[in-house]
Amino acid sequence: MELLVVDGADASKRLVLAGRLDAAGTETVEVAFAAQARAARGHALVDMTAVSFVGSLGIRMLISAARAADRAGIRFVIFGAQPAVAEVFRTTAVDELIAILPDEAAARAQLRA
Amino acid sequence: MTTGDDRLRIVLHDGAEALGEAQQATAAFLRGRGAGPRTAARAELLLEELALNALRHGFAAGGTPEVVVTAWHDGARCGLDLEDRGAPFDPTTAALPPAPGSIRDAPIGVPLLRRIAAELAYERTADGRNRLHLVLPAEDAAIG
Repeated sequence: MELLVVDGADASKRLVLAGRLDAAGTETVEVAFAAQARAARGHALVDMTAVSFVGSLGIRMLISAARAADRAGIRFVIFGAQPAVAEVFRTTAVDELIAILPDEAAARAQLRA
Repeated sequence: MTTGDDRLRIVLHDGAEALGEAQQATAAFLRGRGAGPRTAARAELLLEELALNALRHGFAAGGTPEVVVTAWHDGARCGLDLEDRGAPFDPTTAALPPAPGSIRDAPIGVPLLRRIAAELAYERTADGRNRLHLVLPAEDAAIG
């Protein structure tokens, strides 16, 4: 599991996850992911285009980071979930808690709205 | 890990790496017997949730956490059976947390299991084991 952070000119951060967000993958990135999400000053956009699986620990990591961002006034959105991952988000009702958009353009449009 | 024609048996102890390998082996086993990608993904998701819960919360300090997972496919249906000697826990009757009104209260485990599983049966055996039998839904079944 890998985490790449891209700082945007608008003080947003794009957090790019790649690999399997299973228990082992989550343990690999969760500390850095949480820190980076908190460090975003405006928006945190989570790019999940390259994530092939999300398990329960991964879901908790995303919810925890979204909660911390919410408390800090940071808008937290997820985009690019593959079909299997999107189904997990629907099944766990994560999509009722976190804004989940199909792609980066839609995510940025949501943040501008 | 042992494999038969219609069964894959895995013994898990605490360890995220081993669990990840078990998830991928389970998915490969089910796909190899005709299960679709959604079914395999659901199996992986439930295996992680159930095994982690049992291994990390079901055993007293000093105990030896162990969960035996059997993935099965009978040609028509497929699912998971899990057994452990941890504290009794029946996910078919466990109280559900309140519906999530905010990010703070998001429940995952038991609701997830009940939403996904097509059939779920729990037994506490006479010799002190939790035994969970889970049938996965059909590949094209809508969840939730």
